[in-house]
Amino acid sequence: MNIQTISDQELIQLYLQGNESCLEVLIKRHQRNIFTAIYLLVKNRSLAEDIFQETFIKIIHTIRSDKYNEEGKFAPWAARIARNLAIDYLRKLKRDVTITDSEGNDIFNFITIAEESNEDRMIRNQSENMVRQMVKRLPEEQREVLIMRQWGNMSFQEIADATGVSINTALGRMRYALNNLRKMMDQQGVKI
Amino acid sequence: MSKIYTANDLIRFIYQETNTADSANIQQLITEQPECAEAFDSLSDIVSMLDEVSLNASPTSIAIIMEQAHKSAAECI
Repeated sequence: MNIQTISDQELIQLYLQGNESCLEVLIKRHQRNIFTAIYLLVKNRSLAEDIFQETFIKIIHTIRSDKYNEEGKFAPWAARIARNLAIDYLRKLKRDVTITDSEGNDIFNFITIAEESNEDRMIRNQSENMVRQMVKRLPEEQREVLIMRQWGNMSFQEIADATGVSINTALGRMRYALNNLRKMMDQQGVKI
Repeated sequence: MSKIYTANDLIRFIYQETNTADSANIQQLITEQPECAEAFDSLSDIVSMLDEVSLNASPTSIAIIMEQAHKSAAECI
């Protein structure tokens, strides 16, 4: 049996039977999409690593307590957990940080900008990074739908359910997100 | 083909969420109508660029998760 080619569901079953290497395969299979989604939501690498760990630890607890019942839908389920943890964290951060600068501006915005510039310096010239920066600049509602569809593998209906809007609203947000990205690419001369 | 398709349908088509009949109709529209083909190409290009964006979690994060899983398994024994 080639462990790399078996389904998510089988990996979970084998993990429950005591095969920990199956869990590692499952994590490595999905880490790229889940981590990218988290990173683009929270816009900070270190925080994304923490939330990524928390996401998979929660996944493990759910699987081990026999509460996992998303047969064949591991990726969107995992993305939903990651999204909820990221949103919870951002809400808590916004609630906790009430310090303002001398002009009364919320310093939360400055913290985010500072973190972005550190990363920007490292890989500024790569077009992939440029696209990533553009995604980060999208309005929150558009960014969320885009990330959950593109990297979370959630359907538009699943996104609508998770965010409490109609499917047409979710699709409209996606459309605006893609159109806004196109405008930003044109403005910055990014060649597609 | 009497059904009217919208930009939202085109997005669902690109993400392969349309049913077989709608997919065939939209594909036909893309072939026959230049403005529809242009909208499809524009959106597809952006989605292709997004496909290139991916980041890896650090090996340390994966090691921490595996360590937690191991502890969790040991507690159950």
